[in-house]
Amino acid sequence: MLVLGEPVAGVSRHAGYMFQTDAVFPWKNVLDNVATGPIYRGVPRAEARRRARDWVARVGLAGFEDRYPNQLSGGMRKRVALAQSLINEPEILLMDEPFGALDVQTRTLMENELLELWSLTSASVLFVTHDLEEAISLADRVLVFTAAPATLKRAYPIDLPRPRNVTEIRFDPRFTRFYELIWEDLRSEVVVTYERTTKGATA
Amino acid sequence: MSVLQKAQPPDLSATALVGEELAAEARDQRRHRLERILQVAVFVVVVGGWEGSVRLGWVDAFFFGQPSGIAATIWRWVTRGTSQGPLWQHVAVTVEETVMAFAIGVVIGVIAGFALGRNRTLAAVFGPYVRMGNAIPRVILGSIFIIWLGLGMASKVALGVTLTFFIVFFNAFQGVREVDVNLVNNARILGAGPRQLSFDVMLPSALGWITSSLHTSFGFALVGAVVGEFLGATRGLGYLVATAQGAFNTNGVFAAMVILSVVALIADALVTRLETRLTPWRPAAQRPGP
Repeated sequence: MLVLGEPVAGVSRHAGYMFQTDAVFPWKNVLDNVATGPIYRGVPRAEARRRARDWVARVGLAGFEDRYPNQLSGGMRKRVALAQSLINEPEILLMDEPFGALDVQTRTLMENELLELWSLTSASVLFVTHDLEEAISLADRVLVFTAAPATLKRAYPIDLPRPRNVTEIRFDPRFTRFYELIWEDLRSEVVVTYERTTKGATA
Repeated sequence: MSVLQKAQPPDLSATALVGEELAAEARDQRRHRLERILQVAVFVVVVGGWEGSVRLGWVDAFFFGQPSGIAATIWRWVTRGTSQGPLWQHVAVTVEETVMAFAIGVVIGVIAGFALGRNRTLAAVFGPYVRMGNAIPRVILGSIFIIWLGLGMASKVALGVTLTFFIVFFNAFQGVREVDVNLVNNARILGAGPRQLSFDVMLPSALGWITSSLHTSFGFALVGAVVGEFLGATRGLGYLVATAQGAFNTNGVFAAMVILSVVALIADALVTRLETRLTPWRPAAQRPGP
């Protein structure tokens, strides 16, 4: 398998990853958490902190630099994680249901935040989600996978205009058409998974 | 429905809410005061019952001691010194032995626990020996250390180290083993090398485990010092207990015990402060209880 023209051997320097659960370091404050990546990659501490301060501000956490993660809300911790990933300027950002644990309102806010920050970078984002609305409103392409064993079922290019606003785009008639189209495809897989689990329970 | 409609609507005006809050605060204060009073009452009943039983001739003061006698002994020791020299000297010796044993035990324990936690081969080779060492009733080693190292401080420190080491070791080891996999993976993706993983992720993560073991291990360092003194020494609180025992001075044994408890409580408070210093990111509620 090739990524950016190179075979994958171990952890790539070009990739960032945002975890489903909290993976910020509880013993570091916000600024040090964000500065972690550059410091690991050999940037001098002062320079790393300067860049971290900038990123903390970009994700809207200015003023919270010296708080520890347990003093922050779930959404704020996600912002820290986002800044932590983006400060390394990854070419590929992998996101595995990063906003799954957030409440619906915070989630929408974070999705907009992600779109805005992403538009300033050159990263390709691979975003895994179960939420079809989230997928359509964020993505350029939605890939539907089959029930396990997961294989690619179909790809849908989403040509909704950018910049998008996650809250507003849901009322766009084209959005609804995409939703119906993809949901039709997805439903059969959901049914398969559902039948398997119910059968497993009775067996 | 009709029942609901008949019920008085709750008064939600600001003044009513403030009143409610003040009432709750007053209830809290009353409860606190009651707890304090009960606390003192328990002390009075136990100590008073003891003193009363001795005075009424129900129990023999020679065997069971007497609170007033214990207090008098402590007072005599504080003001005129013990028959084995001034009290502060004995306290100082015991504290010094305890602190040395604690410091050495913690350092060795952390290093060994961390090394074995990080390195599979080391853990496989030394793991069984460490468990065997831990299975030895350490107090018996006290006798050997006195033969090897003499009646001075060294033998007590050695005994204290063998007691504290294992507690800290197992906590450090477990702490390294139980590091959140997500944190390790996150650090690796962010670009951490093996050294950075060790000292920037594993160590701080294990620090939570290590610090919560410090209370127990300090207690054991004190046990090591006192038992060592008890077995053979020329100074220290354990030595005071031993001499009092030799003279059938029950009050003397209890007096030394009270002084030891006070020392232990002060030390415990200091360890709590050390803990807060070491792990500032932990919320107060997550710390171990009383």
